[in-house]
Amino acid sequence: MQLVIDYLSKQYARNIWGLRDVSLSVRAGVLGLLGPNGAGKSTLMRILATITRPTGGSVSWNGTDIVRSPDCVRTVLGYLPQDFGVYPQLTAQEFLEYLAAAKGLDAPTARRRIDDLLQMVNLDGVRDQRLGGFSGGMRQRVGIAQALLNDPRLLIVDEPTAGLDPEERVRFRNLLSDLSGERIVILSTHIVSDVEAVATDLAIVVRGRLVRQATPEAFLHATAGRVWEWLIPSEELPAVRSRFRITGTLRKPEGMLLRVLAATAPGAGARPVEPTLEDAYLDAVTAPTAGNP
Amino acid sequence: MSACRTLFNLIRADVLERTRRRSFLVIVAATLLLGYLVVNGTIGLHLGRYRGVMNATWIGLMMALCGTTFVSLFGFYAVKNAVARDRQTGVGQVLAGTPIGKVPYLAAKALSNFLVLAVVIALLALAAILLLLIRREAGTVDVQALLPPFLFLALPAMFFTAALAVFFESMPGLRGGLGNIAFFFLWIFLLILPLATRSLWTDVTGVRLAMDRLQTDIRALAPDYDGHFTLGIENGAPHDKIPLRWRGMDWTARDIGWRLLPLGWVVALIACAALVFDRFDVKAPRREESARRLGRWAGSGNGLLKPPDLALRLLAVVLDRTRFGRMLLAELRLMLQALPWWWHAVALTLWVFTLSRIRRTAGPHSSHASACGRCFSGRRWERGKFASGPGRCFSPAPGRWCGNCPRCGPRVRWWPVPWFRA
Repeated sequence: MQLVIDYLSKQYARNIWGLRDVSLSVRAGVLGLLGPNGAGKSTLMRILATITRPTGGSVSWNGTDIVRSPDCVRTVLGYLPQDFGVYPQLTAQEFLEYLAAAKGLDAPTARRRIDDLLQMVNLDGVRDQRLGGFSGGMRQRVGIAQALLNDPRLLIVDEPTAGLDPEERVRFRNLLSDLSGERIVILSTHIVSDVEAVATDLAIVVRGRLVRQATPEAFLHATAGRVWEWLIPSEELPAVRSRFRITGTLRKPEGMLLRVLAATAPGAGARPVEPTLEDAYLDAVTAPTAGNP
Repeated sequence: MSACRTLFNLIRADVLERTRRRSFLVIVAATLLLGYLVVNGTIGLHLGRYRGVMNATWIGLMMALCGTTFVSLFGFYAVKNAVARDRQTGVGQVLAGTPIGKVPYLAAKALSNFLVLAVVIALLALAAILLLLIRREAGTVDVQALLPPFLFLALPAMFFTAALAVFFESMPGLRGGLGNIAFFFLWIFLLILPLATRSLWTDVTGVRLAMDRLQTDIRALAPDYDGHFTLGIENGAPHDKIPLRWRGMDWTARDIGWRLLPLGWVVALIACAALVFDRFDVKAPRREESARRLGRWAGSGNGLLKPPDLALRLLAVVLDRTRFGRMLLAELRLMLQALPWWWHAVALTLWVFTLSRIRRTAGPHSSHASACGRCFSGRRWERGKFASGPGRCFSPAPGRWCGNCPRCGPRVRWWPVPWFRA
């Protein structure tokens, strides 16, 4: 089971690119796709879900080009788009039956699967209520259930935890962990803590380009020795902020405790600390690059 | 897993979603109003000096033709939202990632449109039965004689309308307001074309076929019949016309074949729609586009983590009330920006033409002769006074403000009336 993305590009207009020369190789496990808003994550997701056609490069699923033969991936795909919507007048049960039919499930299989999934996403008790009355989080759970209807080999979820309460968020993370063994899960988000717990691989996309693909450990290793904790008087914060990349601040009785990204100690009293994945992400995203101010 | 089951579930979900909405009640209400207008004789089928005797065959044909003509217009606008809803809700993106093809998807949408329109036609059929019970002049309540026009005239026309709505939704330039305007002219064209060309090939509504058969039958009954055929608002009291007992259409295999022709158009329309349908692909998501245009910040060094060099000043004023003027301006801006500039240009041009029309219509009324016919209020003016109740129409343009009698003369000079008339 392998998904290979080779120099993938999407150009919307003359000077507007969604993606530029993105190359990735994905195997079974959870790939956390990180990047700031508007980085091109959703464009990449839509291309992988065969909704958007790329303008350059190729994507192959187990050796088959998905642009030329989209059905090879559509039959094994579960997709939760970022702006997931529902038919408000249908009940959760009816809506899932509808999508199960579109995915090609026969009636008995669909019924069993819907029962299981509604229990799994904790919506069993409201299965006969119309979706129009559901909260944002409940609708998102319906979205998660529909993505899993056909027991997908390739599961693409775009900002899946948006609108979920903390308990449901943890529940979803655990679910992804359980699912990841025998399939490829691509989890797009800008919330680092979502991928921290489950991702076996990370890819960071910025301005339509892939900055880096590596394991979380490799990201942490690359940032090791570049994260500092530094206690400064509160009044010095604006000046320090303008000189250094600060990933966190904590107010203490003695002043402000900062987490600073820097190659060398930012000042007297600064001590090196273990980087978190958030530090590593911010380091990759905000690293000064040639041509950018 | 059969394709039929997929199709059935797609149609079922779509029909449930539509019929459970409150807006569906508006469609039902509009249908009932149309049925009522036919029942009370406001709208009908007119043959010059002649009219049909109110029996099952005549009422069936009359109601079915009203359905095929008027429901094909407002029905189009009522159902032209099936694909748009999937686009707006995001359900389309999920469907685009499933193995379902463009043709089955669009066929399901067309069938779902058709079912909604078929419900409307069924309501009209019920209204026809009601009309038969109330105004029957001859024969029995023969449902078998009443229903064939609905089956062979109205339903194929509805199928065509349903597929046309899907085609318009699939065609990039016809999805929005331009498509709505284009359809109105297309609707007029489709009604006129078979009448002008005397061809049944383009007769999607079935009016030409019904007219041909009816005119032949009426000529056999009344040799001096001049071929007059009007479907619309009553022109003259029915009791002034000579009733003819029409025995109804013999639906031959050839006639039914002609009525199956719109189904061929339906197949062609869905095939064309599938060719141009984008399967919910987006040309350029606005959010990403704007982010790219605005976005020097992404990947721009430590700028991301730096706060902007801007300090918000404290507000010196007390926010004690809403600024109505500013709210109004903001609402106006929202309203104007919702449509492209050319739409406003066309609207303005039409408005200016309307004003010039007011001058031409409102002006001469004051100098008209004092003789008055039946005015818009439905009352007869008799030398300075109004008499309630039904009266004979003397006006060459009934159903309008005559502009000459004391009642409606001042109203015509009141500018909104000619404005609306224009």
